[in-house]
Amino acid sequence: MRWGTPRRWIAPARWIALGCGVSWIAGPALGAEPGPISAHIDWHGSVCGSAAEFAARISGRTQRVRFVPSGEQLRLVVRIEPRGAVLRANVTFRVAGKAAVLRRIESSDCDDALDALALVVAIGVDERWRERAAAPRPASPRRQPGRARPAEPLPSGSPEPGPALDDWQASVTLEPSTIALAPPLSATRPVATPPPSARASHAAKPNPVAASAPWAWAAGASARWLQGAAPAQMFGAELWLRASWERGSMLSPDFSVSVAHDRASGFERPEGDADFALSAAGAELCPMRFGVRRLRLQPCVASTFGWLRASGRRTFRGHTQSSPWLTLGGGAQLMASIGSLALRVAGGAAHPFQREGYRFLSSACRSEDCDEAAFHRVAPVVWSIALGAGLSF
Amino acid sequence: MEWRTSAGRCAVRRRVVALAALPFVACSADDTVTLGRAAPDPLFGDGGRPVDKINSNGDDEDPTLTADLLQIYFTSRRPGGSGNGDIWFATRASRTLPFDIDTLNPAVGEEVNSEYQELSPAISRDGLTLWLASDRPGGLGGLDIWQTERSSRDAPWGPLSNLTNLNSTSDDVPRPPGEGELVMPFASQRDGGQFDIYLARRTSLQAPFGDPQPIPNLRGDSSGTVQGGFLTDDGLMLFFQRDAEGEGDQGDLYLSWRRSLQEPFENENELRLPLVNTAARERDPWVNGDHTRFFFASDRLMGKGFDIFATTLDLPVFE
Repeated sequence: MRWGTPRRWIAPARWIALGCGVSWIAGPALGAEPGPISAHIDWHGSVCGSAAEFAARISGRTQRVRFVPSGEQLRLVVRIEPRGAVLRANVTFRVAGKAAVLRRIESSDCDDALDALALVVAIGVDERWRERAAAPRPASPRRQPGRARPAEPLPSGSPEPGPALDDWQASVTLEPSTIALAPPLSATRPVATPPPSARASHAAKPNPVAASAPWAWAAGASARWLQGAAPAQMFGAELWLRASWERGSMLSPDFSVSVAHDRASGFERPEGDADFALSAAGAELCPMRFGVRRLRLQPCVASTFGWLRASGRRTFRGHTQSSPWLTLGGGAQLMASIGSLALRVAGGAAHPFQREGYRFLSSACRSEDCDEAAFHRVAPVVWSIALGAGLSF
Repeated sequence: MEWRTSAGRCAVRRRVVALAALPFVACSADDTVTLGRAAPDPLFGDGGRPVDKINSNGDDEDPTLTADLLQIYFTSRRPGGSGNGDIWFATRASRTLPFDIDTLNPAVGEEVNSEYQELSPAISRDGLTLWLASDRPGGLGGLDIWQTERSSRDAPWGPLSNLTNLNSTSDDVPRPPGEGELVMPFASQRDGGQFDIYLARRTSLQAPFGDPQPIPNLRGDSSGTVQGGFLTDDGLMLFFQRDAEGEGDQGDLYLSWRRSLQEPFENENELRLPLVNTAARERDPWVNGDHTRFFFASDRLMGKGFDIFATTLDLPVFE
């Protein structure tokens, strides 16, 4: 079971990330102020937007970095990829002649992941800047409990830094149950706090994930069973297209449109046979989901519009009538995703607004005025079950 | 100022709920759709009007027409014929026009009409084959069914041939073949001295008719006879007349139906035709191929014997 990310967890996470970054600060900025650190971003996080957007977030938090296409002093390798229901974001700090340092953020939300990652980078940059300002400095400070330990330098030319994890390295997650923060905050160290202006500009930025990653699409077909529209059970097929908006919480709605055709043929009466066919288009909204993205149960409201066609056969003056079909109802669907395969089971009940009755006239009836009862009237509640499969994309 | 009381707010809320529920209740229509009927309900345009220009003061009956409705053959006992009942015909240029009085003649040639009785003509759809009943010599006895053919509608009729496999020593009277002209519902007195309808089937239009089969559940009884059968093109409906013996000697037109060719015609699936039947006698029903024209004979016009009547028809098909 995956938990959502309520707002009350986001602020602490940011502060945790902040503390994590502080732990990388080696000492106070002393001496003459050097210029900004030139940095370059190796971006592997298209799932959460572009490198430029990420750079803007960093620039909103520190003025001590200048992004350059080449000839950088600091290389930031950023990799963001979904791992199950969460996003894992790594940033590796690479400085020539120094050990690479890896930071990892986990979050179910791109916005928070980028925010925390930018904060970590800003703090790291500030520390590098202070190191430069205080240079020449003594060799690496003696390791203290809880302090960061310098990692071994990476072999030159390694495409992806692979530092050994140590207690210097923090793993931050926005999930309350898995928060793990190794480096303790140093009270003597200045903490880089995001300037109010940076927060304001950040808030105005569009969230790239909200426009792409949280949306999942699926299209498929289902076999349907319908009870109540015709005197006999109706069987048919449904084509559906679903859009799921994964918001990292129970309020992750699912929208769908569908077209369906169901039939019940050869309903026999002494006066003749009746065939029924229902052709309808539907729209469905499932505002909540229980479970995880890959296996979720969703209550839904649905409306269908179409035509219920009834035909008399093997009778005299056989008549075919198409009646409007408009329903409003609800139900639930269970969706399971196995790779790109989406399995769907849905059931529901709907109330048809027009409930026609159907009859044949007996041999004794000589006119249309006969008061003969209908052998079937559309039920006040029509039940349906659908079982299908499709592809997620 | 708080002008709406708590009770007032509740009333408004109830009204909103009621309006929201309105579509669920008020829009739930409960119309009833009739998908069909167990029995045919032939709808006639009227009770029948005399066919213009072909009726006489003598008996005019047994109307049959070609499929295009441009030629009509019937029995008439009017002056000018060869004997006691002859086959007459008339033509018209269009089915919307009355028959041309100038074309009203006894059937061409001595091969058809004679000094004996010639009754109940049955013209094929294409107008090239004519069946009739005649008691002329050469038959098996009483009225026999005879057949003549011609190569075109302008050509004279050929010699009559006796359909011996249909005829008996009693009266046998033909009617136009139905069910794609493969089944002839002729009337015969061969069993019990009263007319009953028999069905004789042939395998093709060129093949001879096979042995006649009675319709067990559609027979005359002591109170009357069944004859004048007309089988529709789909073979599922049989028009006929019931002639009651005795008081008034009344006769009316009926319709029997079945749901498949394998089923027999049953008494219980029998309908006395509405509107066209009167207190007088109606007989000799004939329906065109698309079931829109209905011809019959009736003696409802006092003092004129039988005349030929026609009306429009809306006859449902079983499908």
